Amino acid sequence: MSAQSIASRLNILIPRQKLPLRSPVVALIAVFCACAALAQALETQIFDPATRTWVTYDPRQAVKYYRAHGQAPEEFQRRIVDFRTAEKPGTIIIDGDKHFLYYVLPDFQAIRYGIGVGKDGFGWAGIVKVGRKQEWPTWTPPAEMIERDPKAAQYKDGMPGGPENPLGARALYLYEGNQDTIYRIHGTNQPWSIGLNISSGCIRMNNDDVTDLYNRVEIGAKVIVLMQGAALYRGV
Amino acid sequence: MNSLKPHAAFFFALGFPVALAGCSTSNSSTPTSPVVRTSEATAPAALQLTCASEAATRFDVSSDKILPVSSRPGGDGGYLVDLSMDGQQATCAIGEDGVVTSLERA
Repeated sequence: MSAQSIASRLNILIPRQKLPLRSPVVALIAVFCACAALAQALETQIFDPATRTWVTYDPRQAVKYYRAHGQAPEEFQRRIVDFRTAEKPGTIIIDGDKHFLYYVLPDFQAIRYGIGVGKDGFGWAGIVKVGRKQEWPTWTPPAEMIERDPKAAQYKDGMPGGPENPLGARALYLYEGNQDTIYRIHGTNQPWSIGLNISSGCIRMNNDDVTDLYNRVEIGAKVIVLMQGAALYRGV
Repeated sequence: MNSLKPHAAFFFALGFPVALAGCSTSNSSTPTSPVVRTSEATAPAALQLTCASEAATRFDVSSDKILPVSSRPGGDGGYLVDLSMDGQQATCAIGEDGVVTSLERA
């Protein structure tokens, strides 16, 4: 698997000049991605009061809900919760199964945000850190994505940051040591997608939430990603 | 002034059940957003990480090398949490109160 094909799967920009095709990093990522393809993500379900049954909260349901309510379900709205942990304040803990991101506060509390996570085969778990932050990040479709979708060609040199940009208002770049994992926590131009397994491995938040998180988190903050059955990033 | 008291009592008696009905209606219809859940029950993240922290201490492994990888309901309302521990596996039983009741290498 080439670096560009990996980038294509993740729908993100990897500066080509900074990622040699045969680097050890690429090899490790390729192995990781191959393993990740085996993962089966847990799904969100939503209670349908009309039928009094739980139904899968899929993209169709999510769009329908968002149109009716103007936001994702209440459970995914930002709030402060009790959170007893030994992790330091400032740590980010991602519960990919429940689609929550926690920002640890002092006194056993945390801010909980709703998130969207990787679709089947793209989920992952591991311990990384925030290596870089960016306001209104540029998004550039990888070459393979442009091949699949000619409309994406207009952004081959990068789509400027803005409301229509898939990376949304802010991006936190996740690193392991000094290496970019190629995963990010970022905003979105699809706010209805919070609560879904929909991304190519990145953690997405609505723009207000990612901006709130961006303003709180510091470079170097520890990020723990929990996801049942997902491949472990670099074999924790 | 005293002559108004029976009237006040009357209106209070009339209004009080109405007020209660208003509260009752408001509560019973529960017009909040529908509840969401996960397709399978997993342990809360804080409990999973408590298990990881306990394992780091008990087995003298760096906390950066321990990660909860799966969890499920256990007995008595608690959970079982599987840990990946620097290439090895361990299973932790933890109560809802955050007390680890057992921790064993797989």
